[in-house]
Amino acid sequence: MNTKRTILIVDGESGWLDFASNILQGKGYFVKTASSIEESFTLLERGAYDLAIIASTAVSPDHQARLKKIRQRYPDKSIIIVFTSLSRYEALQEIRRAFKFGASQCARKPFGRTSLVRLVEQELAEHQLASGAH
Amino acid sequence: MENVGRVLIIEDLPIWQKILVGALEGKDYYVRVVADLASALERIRHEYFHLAVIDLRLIDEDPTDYSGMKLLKEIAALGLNDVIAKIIVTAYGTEDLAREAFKVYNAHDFIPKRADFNEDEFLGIVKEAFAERVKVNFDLVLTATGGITFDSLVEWMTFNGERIKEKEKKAELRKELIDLFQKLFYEANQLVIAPLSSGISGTGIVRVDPFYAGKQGKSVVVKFGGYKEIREEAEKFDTHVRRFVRAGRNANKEAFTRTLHLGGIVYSLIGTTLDGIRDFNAYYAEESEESISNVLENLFGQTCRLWYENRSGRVLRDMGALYMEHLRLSQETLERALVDKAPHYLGKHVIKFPNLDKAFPNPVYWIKGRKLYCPIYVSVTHGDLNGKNILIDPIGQTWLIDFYRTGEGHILWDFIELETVIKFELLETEDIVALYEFEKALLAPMRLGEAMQFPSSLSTNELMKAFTVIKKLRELAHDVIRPSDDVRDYYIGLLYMTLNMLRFYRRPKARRQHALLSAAMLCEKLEELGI
Repeated sequence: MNTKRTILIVDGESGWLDFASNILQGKGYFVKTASSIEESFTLLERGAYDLAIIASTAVSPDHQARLKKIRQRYPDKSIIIVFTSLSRYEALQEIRRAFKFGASQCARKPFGRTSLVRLVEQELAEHQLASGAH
Repeated sequence: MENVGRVLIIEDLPIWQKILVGALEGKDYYVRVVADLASALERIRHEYFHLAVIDLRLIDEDPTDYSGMKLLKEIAALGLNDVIAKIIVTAYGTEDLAREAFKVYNAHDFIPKRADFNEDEFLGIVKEAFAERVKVNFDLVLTATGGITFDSLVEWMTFNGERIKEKEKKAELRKELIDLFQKLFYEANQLVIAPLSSGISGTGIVRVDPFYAGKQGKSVVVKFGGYKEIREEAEKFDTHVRRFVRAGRNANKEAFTRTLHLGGIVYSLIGTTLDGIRDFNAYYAEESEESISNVLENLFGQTCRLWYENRSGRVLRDMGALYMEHLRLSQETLERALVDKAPHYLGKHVIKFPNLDKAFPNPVYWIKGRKLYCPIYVSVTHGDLNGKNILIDPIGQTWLIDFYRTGEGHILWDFIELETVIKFELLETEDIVALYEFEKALLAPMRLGEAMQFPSSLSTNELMKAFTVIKKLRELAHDVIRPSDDVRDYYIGLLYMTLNMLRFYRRPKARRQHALLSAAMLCEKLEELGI
């Protein structure tokens, strides 16, 4: 069912990009990666993805406004913001920032294979449900 | 500026109450503060707020207390998630709670309470919540004209069939009504609100002329009323009407919004500026039979054409049950109408009318326990085709509004309803003998589409006009069921719709007597047709 779903991963950390794309490709997803958000705006603005996993470090305040418009245009497509932070306060600030520009989910790195797959599957299922897709 | 942002702060600690209220003080907000979950719920259920600022822990000494999350859940359960924007303030936030607040309850923000809490920043977040989520245009200038005022519009509104009597509630509802328009027309600068036509007054339907940056926008129609009813109408439009909307002569739903108690729908009428629009009642009174007949052709042949073209195959239905259910009519209601308004007919299975020698079956008892099965076509019908819901422009083009009762039903429902409108609302003759002759001529056909002759014994123009218009209506009804010409379902539907008139106690006695006579004659006709 999920074989042709397109997942876009945007992260400056090449190790994480490799890790996440290998796992998700192994689960049958079509995965595209980019090390900066500028590289992926064309895809995002065309809606050529089902789910995007974007590192919070890749998102500047200027990008936030653009991502907000993308989310409004494609409410049935999911954007997960992933962040690395140390304190509870910093984590909360990351979550606030992400949801305020319209992210559909937000998660703290690092996470293992099982957590990554579960996160992706949950998000896809929710958006599938919300859009009434089969 | 009559209305302001209404903010409820739910915070147990006096020091934080002071900080949060202080941030909004003197900034054109109506602010109320409560300290616990129960008080918050009580307020939210009864008073209209745009924004709730919610402390997550409302029993500060209890480390397991997350009453603020419970409140978010309750707001959602009350169906108010889209009505009340939410900002969480907390010293005890966790990642999971923040995610839940944003994702599940659509919170606008989740602000940590810290020593460096900045009141200006908080005020900025409140303003942002109003701009992005509440979206009420408090600067909108509203002008009510044409004899209506916001007070008169509130006076008209009913909730569960009851008008609001308490002065304070009326004042609150007036604020909500203004708020509703300020939400529906968020981007406008000015609105001129007027009765839709000279024939329409005091209803929950108005004409609105919006102005944007000084330029006049498209005139639209706004239907407003109790939230549940308006939401149901919006849903029915989306389910049954939208798929048939084409360019020209259709109403299209442009927007829907709500406040705590009220809902509003903006309809655009495609192909009209609304200038010179009249409703059917006014049009009928002022125009000739020929013009009215043309209007009926436009209405059923153009405006509603796609509904009938997409009819089902014929299905066998118990017409009595079908009509009783849709009219929310019961045997008890009808018998009560006899008790209240015609006690001399109570318990009598055969009745007589003044100046008529003939005896008739009492229709209230004739239908009792009777199954009236009949094959019918099913299609979308308007379901409430009274004269006020048909709008007509100066060249006779027609539009329908008010889709609260729209849905799949007997294909002839709207034709039948309009016939009863003509006979029992627009016709003023009280002469029972003349009405008997009139009804007799209308009931002569054994098939739908069969020619009908106006009785030569009748000479009143009024009856002639009604007869000609009904004749046209029946021809058009025949067109939508062709090739069938079965008249039975028309007459059965007409019987129930006519009986329904008996329970409108405010109608003049003569009209109700006409309805009873007409229903009695329909019973005789159905017997003649073998039913």
